Amino acid sequence: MATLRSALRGEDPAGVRGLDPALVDEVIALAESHSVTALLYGRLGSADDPRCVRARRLVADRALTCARQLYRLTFFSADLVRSLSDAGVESVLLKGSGVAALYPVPEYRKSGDVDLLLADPSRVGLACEALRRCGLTVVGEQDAHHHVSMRSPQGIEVELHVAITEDFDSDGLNRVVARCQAEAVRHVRAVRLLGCELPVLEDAYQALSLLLHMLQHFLRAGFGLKLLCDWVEFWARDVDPEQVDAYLRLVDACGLEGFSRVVTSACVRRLGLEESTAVVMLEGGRPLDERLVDDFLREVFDAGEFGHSSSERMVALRGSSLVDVAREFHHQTRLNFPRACRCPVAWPVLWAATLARFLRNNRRVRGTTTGDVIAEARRRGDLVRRLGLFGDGAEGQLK
Amino acid sequence: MRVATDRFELRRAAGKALLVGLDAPRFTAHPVFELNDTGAYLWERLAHGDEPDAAAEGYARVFGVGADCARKDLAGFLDSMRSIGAVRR
Repeated sequence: MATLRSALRGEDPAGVRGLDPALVDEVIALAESHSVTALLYGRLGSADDPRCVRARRLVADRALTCARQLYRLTFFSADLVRSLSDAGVESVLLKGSGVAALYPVPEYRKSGDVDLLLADPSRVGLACEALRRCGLTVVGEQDAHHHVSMRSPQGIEVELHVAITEDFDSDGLNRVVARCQAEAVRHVRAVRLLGCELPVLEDAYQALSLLLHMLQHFLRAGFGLKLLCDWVEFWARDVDPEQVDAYLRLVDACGLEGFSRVVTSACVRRLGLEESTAVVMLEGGRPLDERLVDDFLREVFDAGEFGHSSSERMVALRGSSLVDVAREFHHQTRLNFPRACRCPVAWPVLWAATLARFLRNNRRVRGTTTGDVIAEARRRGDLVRRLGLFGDGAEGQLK
Repeated sequence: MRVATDRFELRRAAGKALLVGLDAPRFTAHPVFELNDTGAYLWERLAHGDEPDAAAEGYARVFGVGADCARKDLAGFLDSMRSIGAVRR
């Protein structure tokens, strides 16, 4: 973590004490599991120990691969945006090259796909048709309802978002997020990278989008250090105070100020975000419990990128009781069958279908047991409860 | 003679100097060329607006080569750049 912090703070690598060669392999393994290996370029000291030499070579390879991928995705993103615009569909780049551009060396931020938010979600059919004409195909099995996945002939996945995130298990939050999204697409700015003008959300809305993305994954299988690094780099810039205020108002409207404070505090404590930079976001509210921040950080650390560290990770419950299990089950049913769920008479059938899919996927896709998945969800639910995300705890009450 | 900075951008990452082509038809691959240290130096000098003679002088000084060698290397560099469309008169 110290090595990553020094990279994010832009500290002089010569001034960083050389990493203990005995730890190098462990550091690399952790970095790989969080997809932040490239960020360690130049940060592993100059020791001649073969482990260090091997590690530096691996990091250099990763960094070069990330660089080439950034170039590919940046030009591809710009081409997608232009093609959609030609077809009368305006879009905004979420994450990807738009976030990489925040980094001192954008090339070191790993990206894998392209996420575009459609300014007018009702035009998603038109958008798909426009991109089909450019050679992309709709992915056969769609795993979410808040975006349509398409794939380029070169295998790059493109997600056309009709919503910034999937629905949360909070109708109030979903309504507020929908309103924020409608506002957000009217607050777009251009980021210039590699001669391309990339449309991204203005800072307040981009920050909200990053936070919501973290929350979505936190409540699913988890998220790793890469998203916290994005948060550090976002706020390490000189963000216009008006944008900071706007962000705080948005977060307050969503009931996410507690989550925002915990995330920010974790970045201040461990990832080099200057406290003076983040002070506005940490003010107000009840004092943060340091153990809570540490436990949150441990959860992020353990998760790996998008919770891929273990097959038992699927969701985090609202708490650890059986009621919370049932509640989450119903929420998953609503996510799987958003339209059919509007009819309560159909719920028993839909629950049965969701259960069948859940049991099958645990066995065939995750290679684990249903009992282990539920146990993990309940364990993580304790942290969700302590974070007060659903109005049960001290902070960040979702409405 | 100028390098075409509207068509190529020099990026530095992972210890490499990468010349990235900015201009390509939609949805086609953009070329990426790896420059060595001398090539990267000459590109940066020319991109900065230096005349070729000045770039060659600087090159000779920085890399500790004679004036003739510097001019020859510059000519070779410009030939390479011309072949990929990275030079304009």
